[in-house]
Amino acid sequence: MIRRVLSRPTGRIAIGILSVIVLLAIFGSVIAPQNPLTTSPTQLAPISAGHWLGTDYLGRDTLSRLLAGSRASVVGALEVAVIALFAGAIPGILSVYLGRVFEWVTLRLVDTLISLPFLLVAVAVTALLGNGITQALLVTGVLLAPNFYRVSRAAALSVARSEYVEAAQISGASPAWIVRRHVWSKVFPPISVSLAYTVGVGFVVVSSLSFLGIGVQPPAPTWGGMLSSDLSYLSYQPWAPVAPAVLIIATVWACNLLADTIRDVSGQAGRAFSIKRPQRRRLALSQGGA
Amino acid sequence: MAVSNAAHPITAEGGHGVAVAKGRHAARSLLTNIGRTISIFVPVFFVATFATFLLRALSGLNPARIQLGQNATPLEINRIEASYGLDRGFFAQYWSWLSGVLHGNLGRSWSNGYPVSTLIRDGLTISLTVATLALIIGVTAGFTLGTLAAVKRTTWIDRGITSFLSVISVIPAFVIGIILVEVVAVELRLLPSAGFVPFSQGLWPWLSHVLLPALALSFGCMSSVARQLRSGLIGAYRENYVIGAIVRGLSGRRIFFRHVLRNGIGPAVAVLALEFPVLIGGSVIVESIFALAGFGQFASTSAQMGDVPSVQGVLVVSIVLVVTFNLIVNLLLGRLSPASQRGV
Amino acid sequence: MRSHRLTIRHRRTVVAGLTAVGVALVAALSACGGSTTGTTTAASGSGAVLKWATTIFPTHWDPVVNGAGAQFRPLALVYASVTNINAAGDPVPGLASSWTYNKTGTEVTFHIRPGLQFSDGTPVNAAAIKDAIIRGKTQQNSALVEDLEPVQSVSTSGDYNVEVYLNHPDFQIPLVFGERVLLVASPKAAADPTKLDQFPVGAGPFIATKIIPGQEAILKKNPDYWDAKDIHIQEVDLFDAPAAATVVAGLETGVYNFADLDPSEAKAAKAAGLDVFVQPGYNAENISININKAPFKGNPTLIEAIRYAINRQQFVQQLTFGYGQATDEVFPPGAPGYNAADANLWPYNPAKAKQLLAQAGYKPNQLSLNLVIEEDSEGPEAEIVQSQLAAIGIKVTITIDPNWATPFFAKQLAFSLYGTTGRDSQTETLRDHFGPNGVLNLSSPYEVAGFEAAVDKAEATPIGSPDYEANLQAATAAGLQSEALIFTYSSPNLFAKSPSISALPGDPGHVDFTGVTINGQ
Repeated sequence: MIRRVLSRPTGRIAIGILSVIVLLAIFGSVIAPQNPLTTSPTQLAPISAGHWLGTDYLGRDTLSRLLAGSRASVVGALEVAVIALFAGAIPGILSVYLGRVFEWVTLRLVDTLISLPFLLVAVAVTALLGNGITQALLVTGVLLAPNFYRVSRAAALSVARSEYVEAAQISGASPAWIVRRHVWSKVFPPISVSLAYTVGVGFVVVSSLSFLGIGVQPPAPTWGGMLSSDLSYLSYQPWAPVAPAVLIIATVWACNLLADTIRDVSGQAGRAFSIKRPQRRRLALSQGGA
Repeated sequence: MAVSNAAHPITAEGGHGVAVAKGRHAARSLLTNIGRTISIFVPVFFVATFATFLLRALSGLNPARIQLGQNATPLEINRIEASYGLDRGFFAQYWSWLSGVLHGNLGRSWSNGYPVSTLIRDGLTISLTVATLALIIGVTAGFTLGTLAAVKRTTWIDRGITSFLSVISVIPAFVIGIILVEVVAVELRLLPSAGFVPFSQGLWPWLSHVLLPALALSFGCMSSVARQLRSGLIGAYRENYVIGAIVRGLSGRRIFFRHVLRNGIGPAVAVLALEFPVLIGGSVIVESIFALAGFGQFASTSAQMGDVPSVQGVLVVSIVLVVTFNLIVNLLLGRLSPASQRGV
Repeated sequence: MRSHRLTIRHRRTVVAGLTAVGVALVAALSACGGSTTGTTTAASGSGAVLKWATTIFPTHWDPVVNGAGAQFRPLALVYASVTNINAAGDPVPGLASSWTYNKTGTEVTFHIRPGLQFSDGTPVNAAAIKDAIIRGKTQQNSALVEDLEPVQSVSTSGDYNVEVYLNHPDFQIPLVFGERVLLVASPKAAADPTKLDQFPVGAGPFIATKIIPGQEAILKKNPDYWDAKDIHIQEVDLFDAPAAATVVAGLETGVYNFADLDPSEAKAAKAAGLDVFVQPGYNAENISININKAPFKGNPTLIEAIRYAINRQQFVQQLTFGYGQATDEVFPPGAPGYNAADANLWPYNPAKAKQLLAQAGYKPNQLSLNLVIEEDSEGPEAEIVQSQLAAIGIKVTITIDPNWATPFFAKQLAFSLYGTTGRDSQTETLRDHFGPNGVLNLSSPYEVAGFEAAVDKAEATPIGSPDYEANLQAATAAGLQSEALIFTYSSPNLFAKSPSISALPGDPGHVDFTGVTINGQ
């Protein structure tokens, strides 16, 4: 599938941007021109040869801080997505096989999670539970789980009722073979769409939380935290918010682009799982009906 | 063979008797609709409030810590906890808290003893004002853009709008807020960058202060509504009866308003229900940037102080807001697009 | 099958109805918001209104609980004090029209102005003043114990004479009985201190009419204030200040016309055409250490190592934006009591600091300290401390705790930041920092040897006499040896005001609105 994604221009752009971001996350601290934590007397300095993005309010090199901060944001977003995946996909698939009570309970839990105003709950619960980054990521992951729940449940439903799986079982295929051949190809595309999308959302949430000062441990730089302190010194450095903002926007945009591309290359079957119910019915009917 | 509502376009109605029967029928379906919605959201309310109540036990916080510090003797801790009724069993506390909530009593703050409902009330006004304005802006602009893009589909207008939507949908609310502060308030000096002025002090002072925060919040809603409307309308345009209507010689405008819009608007209205929690949640960020003493700020401050009853009160109020809004949206959806009401 | 009839008219009605509901809801909500906050404006023609955004919105309205810290300034709007000070820092009459010392300085009598009353009708008399002093010394949650330490007993003679007996000669009392320590509450209201803490009842220039806790207070002019003829402001709306970066915007758009200003915003304020008022004062910031807690307990070499690691110039340069100066004493250079001879006892020397750290028994990066601060705005100062200590091999973790005040004043923290805006009486400043019960002494009940005797001697010297300054500086020198405090820099308080507000009197450390007019009214 990677090849199919790369065959499209949007796919290439998305993977390109994301690769750059991942490289920054891995090697950011290494390629940073200066120590991101060293303070110096030249505070709030403009762009210069020595400081490509100037310095911050304590004389630290902004570019180095930006590079060093990429790891926190990227790792945070990935953790959030993985937590959401497991917290959502496992109950989602199980809800098809474990009976009506379990199904009803998990459906209502998911409805509840969707109704909670996201950032408010994340901030409140994280702060109450100790204000650490771990709690923040955990809470955010759980709040994002419903998306995976729905997608995996829909996929599992379609597989459970499909005739070709029955046929394969009757012909004597092993469960492992069935999973690899039929289930995987049905489940993987919509889940990877959701995963790409959730990484983007997780990125926004992690940046928002660090903007509010939650889960931030000074002096370690984070993109959201840098934006927040930039607000206090706008009269000295009006252009300072541009760099972290552009990085955040580019990453989220690339994630969404990737999600869209995966969805497009997975074909109609992939599409059907990720659009909303009324639309899906209309689509199905317009294809099959009068 | 399943039949979609779209296969039976609107026909002219018959005489008076039909209207009466239709009235009764409409009332019954409305009640069914309400009943169904309630049956979903009542459990949601109880689960959410239970989870909210569970927070205290999970957090391990108590009022003595705020008021006395870490060296409080066990006797003092017990005394303060008893005064807040925290020495009873878990379910006894839950029951009394829940019955209080159902009567509108949200408990007392641990940091200053004031009733939580009083503390929330003023902030809620500000937050709801901004959120409602954001909703109006988002819906209006989204509706316009989505319609325009669908009607002019595949032209450069459509492509332009779609690109614009995909850009603004990925920008986080706080980045938009900062950009607005920077550009509109600091550089262009068109609007103030902070504070809240009540409506009683004049329309323009009030509007100039809430416009930027509402705008910052509205972009997500705008892009969701516009996209859903666009794809819904384009889907509706592809239906056979539209071709039939064109063949019959109906004007484009009539086709749009009578057939396409009515059948295509469903997903856009449905997505509103998902956007509202985002608006409430986004208030935390927007209030921080624009210095509004609102609901989100109160939640954030109380949470960081460890004032559990205040946080619980905020969560309960926001759950009620979301559930109420969902109810309204579901009713609206039932009227506009009955097909979406079949099945839970 | 159903055929729903939803004509164009219907749907448009629905949309129009929704919009109308939405608009009506917004308008109703905002009108609601308007009525509950109940602010009035100058535009509504009610006269000169001061709209003050303060970073020290009172959390306690009982002056005894609040103590002598900076929050006394908003409290001084609703309470009157026994004495005031003038621009030279000398005590001048307040509720007391005059005072008389006995020859030895062990007894002072204050003569209270007759005919005044508190806003609840209780008369302002000697008994009320005595009540306030006793409350300050004995109330269980009083923050004024150390400040009132010299007072042994109080008696009244007649309705308007308060006789104060001191436990040693002390000529500072008229300065001590000013706005920081003796804001006088109505004794009737003070009988219920919890209620007084939530709603003030005093005899000050303004009367509180409405308080939204933590957010807003509406104060109306008090016609019975003893100096009411010089108060031209009719109403004060006190607001809890928003984030520093948004204060200037609030001033520009008229939400406030007077605000506490962070030095980093002074440039933006001036660019916006606002006046920046630099309040004269005796501020001094410090790093507070608790020698009763690990790792400082029994390890004075460690504290010395930290002393040499501090580079005061960095604080001045990066936090004060040209308004501040370095100080390593409890007074800033040039202020009364500053001991020039003992300045710079521990000059910045990271090499020596590292040596001392090793002597204290720690390898580089072995020691971890937790620095607890109250809010994000202290972040930069904390980060500077963090980086300077990291340079000598001490790892500092910064924790932001909005409940910081509780453990700090309960002396539970080991390592923190604090500062003073000074006191009207220099010996009072010294006592509050170095005395065994001083609010700024995180190491209570620790008192450095020789301090008590030195400060007693300074207090016993009449203020105008030739050796007063020398004795005061000797007390400063004695206190400087305290291991509990490392002073870093001094930055004056800044206020941004709309040009429509006339200049404020320059009483050091005080915000005085006597004679201030708005728009010439």
